[in-house]
Amino acid sequence: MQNDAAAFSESVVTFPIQEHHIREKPVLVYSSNSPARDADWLDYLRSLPAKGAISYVAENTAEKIWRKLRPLANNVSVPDAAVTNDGGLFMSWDRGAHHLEIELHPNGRYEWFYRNRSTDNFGGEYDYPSIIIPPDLLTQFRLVAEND
Amino acid sequence: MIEPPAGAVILKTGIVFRLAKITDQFPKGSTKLLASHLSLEEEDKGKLSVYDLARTTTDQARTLMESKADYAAHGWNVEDVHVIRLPRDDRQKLWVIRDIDHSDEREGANGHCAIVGLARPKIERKALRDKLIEKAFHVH
Repeated sequence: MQNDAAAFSESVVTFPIQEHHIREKPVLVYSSNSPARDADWLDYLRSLPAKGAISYVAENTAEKIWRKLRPLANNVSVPDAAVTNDGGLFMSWDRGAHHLEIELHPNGRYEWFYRNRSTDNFGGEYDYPSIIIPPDLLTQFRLVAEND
Repeated sequence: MIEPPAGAVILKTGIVFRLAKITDQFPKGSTKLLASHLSLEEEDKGKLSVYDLARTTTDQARTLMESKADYAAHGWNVEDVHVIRLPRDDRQKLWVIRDIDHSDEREGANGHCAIVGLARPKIERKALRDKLIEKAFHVH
């Protein structure tokens, strides 16, 4: 991960993937209240396009990303979220020192950003289509989930 | 805008606040400040709009917004904004300046200020926004 201001890049920031962040197989374990909260989250997402708050493309992207991320972590809870001014969707998780955010644009592409609030290390990547979940995002998502 | 414009009045102390639109926020009823509430719009010209709590009440600011949306007010100590830094860089990144539209005579309009310094490469801007969120507190 870069933490040197002089070396910042708009699109390429790499994170060290540590051994304990990698599982042989994804583990899907829901806590007792997770399914209900997941249901609330999906209801929220699906309600937004009909209200004109976000585009159907953005909603579809959010749901695709959530379905890809969700099974990769134990007990992770749903994000905080807000509609962006341009009709996209912003999602964030704050767990301990770990802050992760994903911003979906109306055109279905997305960007993500991670910051460790204790070490001040941060990074992110931009302009991804929803079919791609880069390994670094998965790593940071697991970090958040482990602290949920 | 990366640095304050020449001649700008930079606040030294006090509390400034920003109204965050919480309509359609999840979980329902949440008033949590999110980074998306600190987005720079093109018309903002690199300035993040805030109000000086010594001159503008949160109710006045809501009236000035002329919007029916729901808003939550989040504040910062000016000194806390000015000490925000990026890693391995001791230079000041953010400033709170007066940004008054003198043609606006509505009550509380003279408290309009701006946080400048966020118009940077995206990765730096996101880091600075997250640092602002860490320093923010609810204002009533």
